[in-house]
Amino acid sequence: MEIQQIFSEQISITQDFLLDKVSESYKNGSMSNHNSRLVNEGLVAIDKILNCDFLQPHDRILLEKTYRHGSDAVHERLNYFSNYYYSYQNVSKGDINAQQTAFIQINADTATMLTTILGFHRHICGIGGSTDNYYVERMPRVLWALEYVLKKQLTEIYLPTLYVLINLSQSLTEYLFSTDNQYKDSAINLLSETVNILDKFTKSKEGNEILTLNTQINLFLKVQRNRINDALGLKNKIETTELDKLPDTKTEHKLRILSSLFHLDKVQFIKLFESELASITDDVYRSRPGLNNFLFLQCLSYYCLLKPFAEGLELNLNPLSNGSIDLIGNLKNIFNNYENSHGEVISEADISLLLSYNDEALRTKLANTIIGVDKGVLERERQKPHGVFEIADMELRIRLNQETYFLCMPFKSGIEIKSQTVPESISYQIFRPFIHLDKTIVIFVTAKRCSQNLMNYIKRMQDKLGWGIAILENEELAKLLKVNGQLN
Amino acid sequence: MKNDIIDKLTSYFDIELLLEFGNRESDANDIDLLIVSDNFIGVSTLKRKQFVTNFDSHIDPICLTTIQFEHLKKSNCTLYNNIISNHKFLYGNPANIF
Repeated sequence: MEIQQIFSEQISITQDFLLDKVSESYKNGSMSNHNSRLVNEGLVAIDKILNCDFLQPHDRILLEKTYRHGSDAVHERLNYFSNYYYSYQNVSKGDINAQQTAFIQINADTATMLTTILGFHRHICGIGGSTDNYYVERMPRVLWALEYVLKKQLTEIYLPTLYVLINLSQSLTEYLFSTDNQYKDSAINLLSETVNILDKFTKSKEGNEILTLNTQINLFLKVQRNRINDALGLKNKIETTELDKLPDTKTEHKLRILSSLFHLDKVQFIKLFESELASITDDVYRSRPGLNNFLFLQCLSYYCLLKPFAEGLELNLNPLSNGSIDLIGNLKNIFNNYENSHGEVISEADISLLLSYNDEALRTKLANTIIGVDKGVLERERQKPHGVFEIADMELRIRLNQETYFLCMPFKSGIEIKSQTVPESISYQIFRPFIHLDKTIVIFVTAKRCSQNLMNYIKRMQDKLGWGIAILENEELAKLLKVNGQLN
Repeated sequence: MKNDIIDKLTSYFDIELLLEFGNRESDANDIDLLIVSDNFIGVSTLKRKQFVTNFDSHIDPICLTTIQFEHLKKSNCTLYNNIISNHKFLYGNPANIF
């Protein structure tokens, strides 16, 4: 089987799995730690796919939307990081089963914070608010629990303890690499404390033995050591590996070793991944969809990042659409005098005037033609600051055909677009509202004409994915502004 | 809690329940609000929060659909108990709180 086909199929399997688990959790009102762990692993895989430049913009949107669904579902079950809160109690008072359960719960919460942070990097998730505050406020209790394991020399749970510590350091380093500053000081202190405890474990005889015998955790720790050094600005030596073959172990472990190897030695990663690809593929396809698909997909993404496909790849993803709407037919219900605007005569001077407007002027003038929306809301949207998390220049709630929709309007002024026509490369900005809003319509407002490629791409997505997108461009836009006395 | 914030929120969203909870001292930095509305169906957590904080950046909202709020009530979790133990009813049907 071609790697392109495997990659494409694994993405579809992962998307289906995540959407199933999310819908199950909304139906039941809860998600188990086991499912939360799986969903988080799937999200990490999607995060890695999104690093691949060859993805088409609409596929990127669908993957980001899938990420949003999964991330929202796992984040909702965090419950103020109560698993962190009770960790010391559970570990110090419980038997070995209670301790193992506590570690699973801690890891589930840590993985959720990790995927939230990864989603934040991509502007899919936010960080902050009362729940996220508890991530740093309650983590010391987890560290007390891990110190307790060390102090009491509970060697039989050293391995899961090490995983808890490395997972914590992974989420903290990812946070420190983010642009968010709310928890920076706390995160630095917590990471330093985590490293201290980690060092005590690895220096112990039993901890050292685990790291010598277990390649998977050994490489995972090496990768994280390098990340910690970067995050804390430490000048420690860079961790490397001399691994020349994968141990004879189960597929899940092989895939985890390969994931770490990607970060430590890319040449060796390619060599070992290619040599194991057939057997791993065989095993993954013979098993029920689950964890190994996500780990395999992470490795495939790393591989495709290093060896990109020669031609673009179009995926076959679930469109996540709720049916379509006749948006063109409804423009008369959104813009004042829209139907009469077709009869307006537009001169070259009118077009020149339109092209001279900057973004703010264009937004103000078009806002004055919108009907059925509270003037205060329109004014707020027109003036709102445009941060990286904003999905469109204007976002309004409107009613069409007895249904409520979010109307998103990205704007491109004649000043902003330097080329003769609007290039296809801005398509991602037009499609972006579909990540965050299931019931949305997009009206792309542009002073210049769209290029033929952009028009064709939008039409194709309307047909393929049912996306409600309309375009107000150039002459048609000038007519609408003119009939409303705004072209002056 | 300023009345104009309640007015703005209730005029923009079809709100089933609006509660203020947590620290309600006048010098508290954030305004913790629970907003239950089916307008949040199909809207990401990030976007729900953005829609609300666009009205006032000091609001720290928990935005739930009615089904999500029902699940929260049934779960009897820390979050729900925190809200219920120290809340001020602002809008909607108070019978929906419990």
